Amino acid sequence: MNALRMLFALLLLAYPGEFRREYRSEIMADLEERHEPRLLLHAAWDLVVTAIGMRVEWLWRDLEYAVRMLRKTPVFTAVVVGTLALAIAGNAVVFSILDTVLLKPLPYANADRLGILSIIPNADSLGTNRLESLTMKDARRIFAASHAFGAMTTASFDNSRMRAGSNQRVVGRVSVSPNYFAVLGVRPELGIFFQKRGMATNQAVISDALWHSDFGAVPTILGRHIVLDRMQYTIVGVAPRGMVDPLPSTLLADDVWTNASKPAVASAQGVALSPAVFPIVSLRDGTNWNAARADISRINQNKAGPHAPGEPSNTYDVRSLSAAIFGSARRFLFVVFAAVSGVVLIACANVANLLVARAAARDGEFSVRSSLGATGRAIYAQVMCETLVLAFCGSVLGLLLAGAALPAALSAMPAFPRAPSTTLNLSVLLYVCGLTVAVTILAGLLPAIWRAAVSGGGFANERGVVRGSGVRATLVGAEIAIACTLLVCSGLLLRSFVTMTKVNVGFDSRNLYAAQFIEQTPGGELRNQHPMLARRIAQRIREIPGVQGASIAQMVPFSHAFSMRATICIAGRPASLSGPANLKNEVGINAVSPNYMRLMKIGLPRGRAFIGEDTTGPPVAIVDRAFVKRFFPRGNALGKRIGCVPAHAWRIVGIAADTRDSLTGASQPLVYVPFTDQPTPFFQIVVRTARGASPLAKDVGAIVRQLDPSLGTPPIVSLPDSMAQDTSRTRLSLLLLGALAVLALVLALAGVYSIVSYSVQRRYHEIGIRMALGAHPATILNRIVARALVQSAIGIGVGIVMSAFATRAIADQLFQTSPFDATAFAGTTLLLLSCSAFAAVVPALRIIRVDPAVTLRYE
Amino acid sequence: MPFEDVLPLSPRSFYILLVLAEGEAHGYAIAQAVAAATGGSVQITPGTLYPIVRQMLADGWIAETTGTNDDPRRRTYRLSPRGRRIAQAEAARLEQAIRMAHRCKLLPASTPA
Repeated sequence: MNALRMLFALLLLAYPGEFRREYRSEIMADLEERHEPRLLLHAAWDLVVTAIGMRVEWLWRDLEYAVRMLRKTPVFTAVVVGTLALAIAGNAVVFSILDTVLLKPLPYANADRLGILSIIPNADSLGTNRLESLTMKDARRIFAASHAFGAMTTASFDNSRMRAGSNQRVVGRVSVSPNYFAVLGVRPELGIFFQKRGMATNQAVISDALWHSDFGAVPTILGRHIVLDRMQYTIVGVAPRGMVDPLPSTLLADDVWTNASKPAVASAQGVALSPAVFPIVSLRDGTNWNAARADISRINQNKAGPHAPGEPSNTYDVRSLSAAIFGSARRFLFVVFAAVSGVVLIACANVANLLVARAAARDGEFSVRSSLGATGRAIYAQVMCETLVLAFCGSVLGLLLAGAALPAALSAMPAFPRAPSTTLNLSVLLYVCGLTVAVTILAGLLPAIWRAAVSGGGFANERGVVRGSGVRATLVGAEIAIACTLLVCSGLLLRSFVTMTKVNVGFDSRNLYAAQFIEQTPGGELRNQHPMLARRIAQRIREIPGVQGASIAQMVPFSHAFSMRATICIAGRPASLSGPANLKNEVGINAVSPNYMRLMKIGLPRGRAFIGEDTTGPPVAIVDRAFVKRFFPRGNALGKRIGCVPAHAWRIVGIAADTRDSLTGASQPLVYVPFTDQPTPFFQIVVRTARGASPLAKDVGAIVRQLDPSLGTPPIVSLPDSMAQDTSRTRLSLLLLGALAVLALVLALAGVYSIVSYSVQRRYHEIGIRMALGAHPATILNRIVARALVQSAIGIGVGIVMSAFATRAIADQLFQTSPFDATAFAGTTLLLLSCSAFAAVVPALRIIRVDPAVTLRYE
Repeated sequence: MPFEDVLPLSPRSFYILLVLAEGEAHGYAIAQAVAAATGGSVQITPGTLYPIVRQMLADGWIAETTGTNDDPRRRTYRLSPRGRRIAQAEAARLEQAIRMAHRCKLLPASTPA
């Protein structure tokens, strides 16, 4: 019987405490009268059911009351719900994008054991984060000399013209060694990846996207033939959906992988062109990255190691794949994470502020309710319910807002390889919602806890109010500090961006396009094209209406198509300085037609431009200022002889202004030579026209088909677009941090506004008395605004100190801008001070409307 | 019809009011009386009884009496005038329905009162 009693006593706990205390003994007395087991069981069941029903009913009633109370104060409710929604939506969107672009693991089975070999850039090239590619020969030597790597595979990236049946198009092509997919740990969606056996045949693996778009996703695709740059390949497999290649600067979604590469090219000038090769290595079992780095530095120190005697000793480096691809992004990610958390904190602080203020304003209501017999717990429950309703509405609205904002954010963003596939991340949503809801509830309960702590009874509750206002002032100060830090960082990024767009690239890129021509024979050899063909195409392009000019060049800045580099020697200089393959003596070589400089609007401060006779007369060259600076520091370059091979030396006839191939890197020395009558494997035609890319592509395509149908349609690159790509990282950073900073500013100002507005409201009575005693309204207004400004100033001070640390984290995102840039710091201070003055003055102006007579009668 | 907003009563509530109409009773006595009157077909367990009692007290249909009890844990309840009027209204409503059931031959024809 005792056991039964205990069971029922336990079951009674299911009831709300108030009911349980009232009826517990009566119920127990009743139960003691019952002895029949069936009836007891029935009674136990009923207890549980009614207890749950009662709980639900009471909760519902509290919620209804909460909604009624919140509807009485629509402005307060709207501000709190709006703040929560903004914080949740903003963070969910920012995190989801970051997660997709940067955080998602690389889609390789053993991604963390993969790395990339590279040459450490020499001191002259400033692009510190750029990975210099090395040659196949170097890669093989390092691999042979190392102990840490279990496998190596190579990849080189370019575009190819694909023909499949009657269909022709340009595809992204990766030439890889046969073990490429095996080393990456990627399994085919269909068919097989390259076999070692049968290497004699040319095999191709196509992407899932290409399979769907061009081959109707038929399973019979295997064994079919495609032609890439006039070479036939057999399709042996389809890569899995979402397969990307680990190109060091970014991740690329390519179309075709082949086991045979384009062969090395020799240009007309006898300059060897080495295709950029990215050697990807995997760690041997039982080793780690530290061992691998030690291995590489051993190879670097051991001069007799990988390089043959007489060759320059390059310094090599190995980085894990994720470090190579996301290296500098990591730190920025941390910055954005901190910024997002800062905005969440501000939003939560604002909500807390509003809830505390509301609780203080409801002192009267709570006092009346407690004197009518409401227990402390009932008041807790009510406050809790109201905060829950607020948090719930804020979360729902935030989710809706996030869903609507994500597509807009994606379209405003520069194109990043994995960005378009961004969807709202569930775990991110849960995290942000959970965080804000938790803080809201805490902030909602805080005043109730204070009340309990100072339950002196009656209406007087001065202590609680005083404590509340101290906390509120601190919260607003913290908000200002966070907003200040974010604004300083965004300001620095903005300056960088502006500086970057103002970089002098050395030519006028407006309306410039480059049409690219490269030709291979069916055997894979680059077919040399007759220069006359290039001239005829250029001449026909010039005749297109609306085209201002067209010129032939092998290298066009920012077109990123071909790179011709050569080791230069200077006539009359010792060989030690002009040894072969010395990085210091490497320069770019560009063969151009005579009107190239004029068309590109490249300055020619000294000497002359090319003329028609230069192609047949004695060899001449034009060098740029960077070349002069490196090889002729005293400036007497005109007339000197330079060359790649001593027998064929060019005489310098002109000095051109520097041009840049990237916005952030340094300009490399460049030698212009005339586009000669010797056959060339590739050339570009740079066109200036306001017609736009697609009409131009159509016209050029028609001309090329007329002149030489075997050339197909050449790809056309817009140089301004290509330049914009260089700023995309900075633009993304600016966009993300800028949006967060503006959000932070608005929220912090709302905080300042609410605290001033609240303090004016609280002191209505006091202000009325002061004015009745003869105080001037302006004096009181000054005092209130001054106090708000002092709070802001303290916040700004703390914010400036925080910024000094924070800006260092974005230092590598900055371009020619100091992390302690005075303009950004001073501008932010000024902006915050003036904005908070405004936010303080507007609500304080209400004082002027105070009528002492009315105020004194009030209460 | 008066008390439209509370009628019809739940059967249990009506039985409780009926029992209290006969006189004061404590909770267990109410439950026993209902079980006896319905031949055991309506069982009111404490879990259902006291929430109803609490609500009726709050709404002023019944009141606690100061009457003494053998068990100090028990409280005795009596019908309030308002509770009586509600019980009457419910009874009238049911009577009307019963008369109709007779007319429609759902129940055997009754002798006119």
